Amino acid sequence: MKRKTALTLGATVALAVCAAFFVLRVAQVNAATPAPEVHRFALGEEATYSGNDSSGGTVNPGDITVTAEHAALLNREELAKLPGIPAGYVDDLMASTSANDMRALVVEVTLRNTTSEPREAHVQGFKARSGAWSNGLFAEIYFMLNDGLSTRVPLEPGGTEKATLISLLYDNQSNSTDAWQHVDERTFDLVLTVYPQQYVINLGQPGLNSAPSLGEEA
Amino acid sequence: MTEVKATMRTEGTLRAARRPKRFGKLAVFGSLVRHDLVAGSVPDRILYGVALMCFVVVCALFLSGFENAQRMVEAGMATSAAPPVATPAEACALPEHFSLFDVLVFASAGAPPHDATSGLPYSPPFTWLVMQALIAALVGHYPANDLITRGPQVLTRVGGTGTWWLAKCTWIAATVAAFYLLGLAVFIVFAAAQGNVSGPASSMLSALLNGFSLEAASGMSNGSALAAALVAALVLSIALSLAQVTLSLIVGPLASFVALMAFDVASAYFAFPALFASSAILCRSSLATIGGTSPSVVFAISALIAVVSLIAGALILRRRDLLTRKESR
Amino acid sequence: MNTSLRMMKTECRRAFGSRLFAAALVAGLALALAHLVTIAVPYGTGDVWEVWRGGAKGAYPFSVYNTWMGGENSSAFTTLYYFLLPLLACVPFADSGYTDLKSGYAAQMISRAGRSAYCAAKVLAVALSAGTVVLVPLVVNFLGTLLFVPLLPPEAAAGTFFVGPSAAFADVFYGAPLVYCGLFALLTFCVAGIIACLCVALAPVMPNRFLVLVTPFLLCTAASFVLAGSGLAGYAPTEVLMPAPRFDVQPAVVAVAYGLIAGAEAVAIARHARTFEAL
Repeated sequence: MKRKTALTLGATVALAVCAAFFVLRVAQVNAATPAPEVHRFALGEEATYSGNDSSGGTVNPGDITVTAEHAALLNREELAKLPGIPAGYVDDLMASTSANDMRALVVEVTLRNTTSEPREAHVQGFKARSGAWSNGLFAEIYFMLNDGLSTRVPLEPGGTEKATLISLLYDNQSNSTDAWQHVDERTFDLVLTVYPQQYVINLGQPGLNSAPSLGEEA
Repeated sequence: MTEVKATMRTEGTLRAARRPKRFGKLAVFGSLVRHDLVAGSVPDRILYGVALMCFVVVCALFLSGFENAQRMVEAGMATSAAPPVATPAEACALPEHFSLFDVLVFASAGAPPHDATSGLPYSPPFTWLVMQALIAALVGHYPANDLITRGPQVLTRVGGTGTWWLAKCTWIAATVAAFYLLGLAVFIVFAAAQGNVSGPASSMLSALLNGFSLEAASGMSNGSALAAALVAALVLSIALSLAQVTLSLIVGPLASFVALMAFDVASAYFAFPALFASSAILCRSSLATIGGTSPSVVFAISALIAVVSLIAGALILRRRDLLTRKESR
Repeated sequence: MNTSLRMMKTECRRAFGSRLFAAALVAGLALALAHLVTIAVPYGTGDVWEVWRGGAKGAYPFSVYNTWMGGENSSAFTTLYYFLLPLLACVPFADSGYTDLKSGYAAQMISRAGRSAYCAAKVLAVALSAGTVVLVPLVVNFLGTLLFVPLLPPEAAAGTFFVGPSAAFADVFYGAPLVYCGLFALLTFCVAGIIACLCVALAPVMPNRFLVLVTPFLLCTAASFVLAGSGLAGYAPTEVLMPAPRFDVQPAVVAVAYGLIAGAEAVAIARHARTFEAL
């Protein structure tokens, strides 16, 4: 009996020590790579961001600000009416009949360079997000809507530039027919950077907004 | 009733095997082979039925792919600036009717090894894996179980393990060949009904369906080269089955089945030469890819494995204690 | 009641105490550890991945949720594990229905405890042992990955997680990833049990032990083969269990389909029990 008690005690102690080491090690690993610090901004609010862009360049906090002026979720017919879109335009995925329906998230942004040196805003790094869905810039239509403006938007010192960002959603990216039917009620975010600082502009429910007034500006 | 008849037939062949001294080792061997063909195949009839269904599914998948390929070619011709031709197929060398060889190429096409740099998820070649699994299940259980159940009596009557083992190896080769012949029969019927039996394989169709052109390495769609590649697949299957059964004499049928399946999946995933189970996959052969495995290499590997398995199996049986009877897994 | 409970304890002791249970567990753990060594450890400590770990070029670092064996779908050991899962589930105790019938043990137990008690105990032991042997390696791999890779929450905008927006419970994955993993652990446990109980249902009609054990594996592989390339590819047993899915499925269809299979097995086992005649 004593031997059995000793063995049980020994096993319990060993287990407790292993558990302690496990917890310490997990804490150490997570401390080295902590969860991103999330900064949230609203539609119309001037958002700053910082981090590395896709080419490895560094953006310091406050160097470039992004203000999402307006966001809308357009269907195919509404998208086709935007200035710059050729008549009868159909994107590749719809043309290949992989998807039956689509929406275009159109976000008008104002980019401002607050520094005294020229900067470039890498808008191709901005991602639209809604729950599990996320997509980057659709370059083909971006160039049509912005008169060929580069995705690395050049900003003069102290200068501003307007750009229209566009991301596409398809019905085959939805996990049920019911979810797609309510796509216009979804809330969307514009994620400027993901790590280690995460800067997110809450776009609200752009499906309830009207199409952007790009034609008047043009 | 079928099992009773099978038992009576096997008893008959065993009675014949009781007369070795008068009729010689060859007659004994023949009797054992006849016995194995009956006794070993009866439990496998369900698996042969499953195999038949799988071959039918392969035909259905091929037909669906063929029709898609035809639609793609027609759509491509409709949008291209090429001058109109009598039929789209004529311009693109896509035959109007597929041949038996097209179906055989599709069935044995397999998939290339996983490309880690592509970032795409890995999709195993299920057609090839199902065929390997069915073959492994067909041959995996009978020799080891027969050794435990009837083995001591048969070996006593035969007077040694060598003839018994040789008869089992013959049964294994016959079973694997029967599996391939069943598939061939289904494909011949399918090709006769929907396409045409004769005629070469279409390189264009193979490129659309299987992702590789048959002209990649050989420079021409060579019927005899294709036939050699397909026969190499059969020979390699026989060799792997012999190795599986030899292993089953040590670790049991289930463990050897698991080991072979793991080896097959690893061979499909990686491109290491040591993982030779996938060397007969058509998309990795010299017919489909430059630098691919040639049928002669497959024949050589198969011969080596078969010889090693034959010798190893004979040695294992000599040392095996047959008096410890326990149904193996 | 006491008899049923004792029967269940006996069967569970047979299932969990057998050498084959240990062997199957060791095989599964070997695959889990191999995955840990070849995927998680390099991600967590290798020089090649240092850029990713630091979040350079705007990248999101590796997280446990896209590194552990169930969180990714492209490594060799993940593929091998899910391919062999039906075999691993059946090896421990699934053929005991067949061996009990052949040896006469079933007749002895039924005469002592009754058909219902014996069958219920048998099914429970087979299902529990199958689920356990399949789940433990996944849990060990997850815990082992925690030692090398941080537990960062999944980020849809990162584009490095294997759960797409059209996957079942995708919103759960990005909102509550541990709950998502728990759901798939439960699903894996249940489906492994259903696969193993198929051996019990087929035991009276199969000619030998080997075929009893490999038939579920062959059926699962054949299902993957038949459904591959179609819109139903994700419903094959080995595909539906992957938390990092390659194909999209509807959870309700999965529940109904596997519920029907389980129901058919229950009917078959009950029928065999009712018509069982020891004499």
